[in-house]
Amino acid sequence: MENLLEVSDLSVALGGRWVLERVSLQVAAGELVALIGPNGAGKTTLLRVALGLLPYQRGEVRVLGKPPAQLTPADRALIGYVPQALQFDRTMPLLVSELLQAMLDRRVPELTAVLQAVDAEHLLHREVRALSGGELQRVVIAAAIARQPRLLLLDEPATGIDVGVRLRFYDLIEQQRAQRQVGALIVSHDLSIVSRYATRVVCIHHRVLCTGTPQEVLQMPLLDELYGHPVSVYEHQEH
Amino acid sequence: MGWTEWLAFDFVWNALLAMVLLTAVYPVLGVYVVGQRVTYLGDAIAHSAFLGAALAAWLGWQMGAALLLVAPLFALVIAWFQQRTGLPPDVVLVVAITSVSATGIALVSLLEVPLPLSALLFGDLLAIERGDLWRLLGADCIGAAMLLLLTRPLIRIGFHRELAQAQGVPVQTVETLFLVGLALMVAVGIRAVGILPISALLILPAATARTLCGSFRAMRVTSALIGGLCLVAGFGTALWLPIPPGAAVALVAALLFGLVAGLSPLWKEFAR
Repeated sequence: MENLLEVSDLSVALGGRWVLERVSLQVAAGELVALIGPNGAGKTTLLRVALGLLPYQRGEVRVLGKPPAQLTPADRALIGYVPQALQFDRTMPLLVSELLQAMLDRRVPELTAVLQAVDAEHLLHREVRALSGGELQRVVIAAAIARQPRLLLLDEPATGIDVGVRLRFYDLIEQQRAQRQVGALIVSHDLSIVSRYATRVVCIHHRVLCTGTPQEVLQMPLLDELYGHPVSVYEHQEH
Repeated sequence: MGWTEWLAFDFVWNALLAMVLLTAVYPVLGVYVVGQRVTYLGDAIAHSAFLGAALAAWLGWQMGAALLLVAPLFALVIAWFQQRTGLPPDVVLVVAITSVSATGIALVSLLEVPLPLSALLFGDLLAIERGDLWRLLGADCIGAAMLLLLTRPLIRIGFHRELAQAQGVPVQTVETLFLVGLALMVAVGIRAVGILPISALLILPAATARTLCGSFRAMRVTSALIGGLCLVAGFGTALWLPIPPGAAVALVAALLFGLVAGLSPLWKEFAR
């Protein structure tokens, strides 16, 4: 299977401190890889390096077969990115329809279908500044999926979203993976989601500590030590 | 003297045409300046007029030509310095405003050349000539092209810079084009309304519209209408009272902003 993201021996220093050291991982087409680890482990840094938003000191990174710095706008259109907890100017008047038009270059009637994917069609004519964190996250997720990406890089994408919509969102990602062979790297602290949807789990804390299937990784005693308390998987009830 | 009598003079017609050209694009562009959170930038570029005026007087150039050269170069220097140092934009812009004004005034003193301070600060709408009108039309064309080509990327950058960058928006190129275009427009506008009112015309209508509107489209239309209202009311005031037209325009814009921003919480409370 084609590798959509390949990271080899990656080391990244920020503020004079190594945040990532000799990290290697791959995301192949049709794989949903969950990246887990405690806060400050370097998960977001890894995503930002893959997107070319941060420089790296050592190692090699290839996204869709190219180093991040060489990705063209057409390549980037094939990458769906959802950042962690969006911070933006809440004083600016902007409708959801205007934001999506700017992001997707589509006409307003087509945008209803885009939002339907995350049960958010009712948000189309709302002001962006009046949305809750979870509602805004749904809009950004809808925009990322609507671009028909080949690779999804999602940084705690469902933070602040209620459990029903969260499961619907992950079902959608799973559907994209199974039907369109989309590859996804998802940072998540929700181990039940990881256990339910991931095809592979990579646990990092500045370095890769372990990797394997969810069943293998989530039962390792190492996780209890890493998170500072016993780790167990709680299954979300769908309705 | 009545309105019809005023209209017999060419300088009044030139001033009216200048107002139409200023209203057409400047307040709309201000919406993007406010959206990119670079409201001080227009002010900083406008202050490069001190340096431009000093160089023009020293080299024997026309002030308009000197401003067209100095303003975009100064804007690029600010952008480069900001990127290089990573300092907060407000710090960089205050340093830029202070240093460029001081350099201009120091040059004027050292070279003992005259500095048309009042014209620089408040412009002279009533002294607008045919050549100035053509330059304003050129500035409007630049502004219109920017609105046409950069609206979508600027909305995306204004919403979330990093997300836009990750999605393939050429953020640095868009920001540089916006900066240079804005600098050229400010340089041309200074001749008509001066350093202080050009900032007022760019920022205050957009800031007032932001208080009133719920969508980006409505904000653009409202900002243009408010800009037009401020120019007409300011110009009318300057015909009857001994106030420079540029100062009168800035005063009207500031009063309107104060009124709307002050009453807005009361209005929202009442509307509940």
